[in-house]
Amino acid sequence: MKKIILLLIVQLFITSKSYSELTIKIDRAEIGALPIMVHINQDSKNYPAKEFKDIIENDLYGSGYFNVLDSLKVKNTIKNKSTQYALWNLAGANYFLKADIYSNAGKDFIKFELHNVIKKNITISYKINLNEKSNIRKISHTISNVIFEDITGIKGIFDTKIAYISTEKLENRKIYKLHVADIDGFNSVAIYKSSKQLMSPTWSPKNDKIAYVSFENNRPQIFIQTLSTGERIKLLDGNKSSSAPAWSPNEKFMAYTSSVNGNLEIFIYNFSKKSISRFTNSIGIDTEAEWGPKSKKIYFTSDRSGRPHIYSKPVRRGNAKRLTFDGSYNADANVSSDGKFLSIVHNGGNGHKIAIYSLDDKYLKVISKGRLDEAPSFAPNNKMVLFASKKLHKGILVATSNDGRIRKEIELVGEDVREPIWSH
Amino acid sequence: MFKGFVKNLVILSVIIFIAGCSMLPKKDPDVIITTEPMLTKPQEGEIDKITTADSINLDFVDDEGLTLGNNIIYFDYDKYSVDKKEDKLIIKKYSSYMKKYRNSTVRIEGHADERGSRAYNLALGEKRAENIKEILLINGVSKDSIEVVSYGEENPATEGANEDAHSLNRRVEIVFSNSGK
Repeated sequence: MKKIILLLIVQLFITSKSYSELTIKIDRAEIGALPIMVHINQDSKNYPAKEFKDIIENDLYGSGYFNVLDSLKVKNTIKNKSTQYALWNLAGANYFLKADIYSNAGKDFIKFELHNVIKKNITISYKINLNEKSNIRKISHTISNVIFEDITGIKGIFDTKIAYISTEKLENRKIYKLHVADIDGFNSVAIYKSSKQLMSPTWSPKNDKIAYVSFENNRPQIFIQTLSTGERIKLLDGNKSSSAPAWSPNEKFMAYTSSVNGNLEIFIYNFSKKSISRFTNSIGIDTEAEWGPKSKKIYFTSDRSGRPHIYSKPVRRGNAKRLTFDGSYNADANVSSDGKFLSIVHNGGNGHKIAIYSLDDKYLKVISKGRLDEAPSFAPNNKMVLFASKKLHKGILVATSNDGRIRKEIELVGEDVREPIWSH
Repeated sequence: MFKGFVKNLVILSVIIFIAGCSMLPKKDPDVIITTEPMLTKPQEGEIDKITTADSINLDFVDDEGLTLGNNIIYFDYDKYSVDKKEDKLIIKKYSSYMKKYRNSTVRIEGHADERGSRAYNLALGEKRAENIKEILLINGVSKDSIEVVSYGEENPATEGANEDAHSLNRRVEIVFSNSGK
């Protein structure tokens, strides 16, 4: 395993105080990584090729699937194709991403093509118009997505985001921050800050809003914040406590937890009708609702059997069915986008760890090593799981691939981080 | 007798703008990327303008010698039932006091230890507090004079990752918001 520490200093704010420094430590297996080279010619002075190259190389390396070789060690301008492929092959590359940044009729473009060095052919070729509003990071991540998907057949997730909560301890108080950041650690922005507890962030299906729990009224209540405008609304009228928000994938409903007659039950809020229906009815605790991908089923944590376990129940009609039986504690289910797996917090007698539960095979596999791991969420391509862990008593985020090929530790300098959730 | 009276007021408002918030790619036939919903104008919310609830710790109250004493009830791991005699006695004392001083109100604060998921621990803290409320109601205390809130694992009584610390953190605190006297 090779370890690399990238210090990503993100200073996005004009004001000097509110910036975030995220460090990402990548621990990955080298065996089986595909050797690739990235070379970008720059004929237009307006856009720096190095920026595109650095971002794409960082994406590919950080995926765990690629070994990025130095393209400057080989001549890349040979016109004879078979000679060029022979040179790339000799340098050890299986794939070669060749891009040109150029101007034409007053417009700037980046054109890129992916060469399969072994098969000696171009597998994909695209061009992207660049203008003063072009976001170089986003375009680079898109190029990474396209070539990643072409080579591996797996959906690229380089342009996805995470939301998470951080806490900063000051002399006599604590500041809670809700952050949104790019998955590579850049653009980390605290979209809401409070001296009262913030928890349970969750993305809207379109990734344009985040629902979360805030204690600003001295009790847990659900708020929805629109990212583009910063507008915040409280989900429910009144002073009652509510927690664990979960958006239905069709965006019509929000499931949440609230107490009734001394028990914690799950309710469903209908956005268009502004109505509430009760979803669970049992003595004890029902919480942590998670919708199935078709909005027809809800997974949730219940202690109705005496210990916390994962259950599922159809939204319309039907009984709750217990899914987990292994261990003494299974909670906080997050469903994969294909609906086949749950990532959960599991205690099999050796601390609280992250496990993946196969809904088809009813098989549970532990994928983390900590004793206080929690808050798992799948990457949009289901190949990785993001969760919160502790390192020397400090809260960190960990992203690990299901096959153990790659593990990333994400830390925020000077602050505890927790409750990460991957965007859709 | 009041032992403590704490009132915190935190006012801090910061508005920031992010560089590059207008740097979103426009839709263009030549551009293969799509403009997906993303952070176009991130902003920082206000830190807070809320005054915390009055927090009054009441150890010893009555002129006639009624002692309330301990206001904390501890729980076993992942449990919320009140089984111990001494805990039932604590609740009974509070019931007697609140029935005597009809204007008194309490805030029942539920807590959990740090293990397990935060949302579940929030529910667990609330269930613990609800169970105390239930016993107060059975003992004749008015529903309107009881407020229940859970902080989950966020406000531990003591730091520490061992069972000694965990057992002190799995608790409910009964706090008077109005002594009624």
